[in-house]
Amino acid sequence: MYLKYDRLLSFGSVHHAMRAEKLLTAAEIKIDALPTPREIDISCGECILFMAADQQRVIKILDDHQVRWTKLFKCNMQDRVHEEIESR
Amino acid sequence: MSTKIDARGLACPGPVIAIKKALEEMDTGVVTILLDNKIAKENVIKFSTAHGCGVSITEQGGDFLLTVCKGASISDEPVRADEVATSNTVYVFTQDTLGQGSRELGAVLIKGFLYTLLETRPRPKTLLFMNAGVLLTIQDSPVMDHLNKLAQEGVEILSCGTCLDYFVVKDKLAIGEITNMYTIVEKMTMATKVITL
Repeated sequence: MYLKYDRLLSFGSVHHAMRAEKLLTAAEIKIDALPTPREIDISCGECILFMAADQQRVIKILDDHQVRWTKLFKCNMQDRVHEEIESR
Repeated sequence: MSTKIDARGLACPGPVIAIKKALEEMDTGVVTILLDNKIAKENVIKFSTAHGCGVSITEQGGDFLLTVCKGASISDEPVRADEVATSNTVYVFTQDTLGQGSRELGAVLIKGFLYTLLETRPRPKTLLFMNAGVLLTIQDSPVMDHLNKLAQEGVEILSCGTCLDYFVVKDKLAIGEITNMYTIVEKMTMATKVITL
């Protein structure tokens, strides 16, 4: 069910991840939140998955609301391959 | 377990041999490998994913840092269909969130827990939902997608009838079956392991 997503955003804090989930859901962007894969971060974090087509909108909404994200990955959920394309 | 490899300067197939050796030496853990060219990067990704490992890639000034994670549930052998639900573990969900403290955080954690259960082998035999836990098996449950997937893979999902009745949601049950205390006690008694949340 997560295989359709090709972008993954990680956060430095679960508070920001939870806020991002609420904002993006309210904006009716198709997203899912799930535990951050261990190959990205060994600590117990939450990340957000979305489609590349929504990337600009997602980043703009989070920036407008000062939600701090740490890394943006291009991801292949089937093979569990995540390639970092931006970090802050 | 965690291993670091600097494979810069190694000619092909050196980087793949290095990651193979590191992964063979651990049951679970993380290997970070530093590479200096795209071909080595692609070859290490191919090898790692073919062996069921997750990979994240970060570019560092022209080099590539790959983090390869070998999980407990990962095996070189493909999982047989009859193996998926063979565990006799029973999970009992007594709340609609996970843990005590913050309900908001608990709602995030329960979703994460069920997602991770989906990724784990072997599958549990049964998920029992009691008290407010039954709110997870009714219409509009935030974890319905996860429960559907588990049910499709043979995991039994049972909700306490008394509890559905108490919360007046019996007609909203959206997955699994209604059960009673006799069956609940029987399932727990017969299980190899019972994990109560």
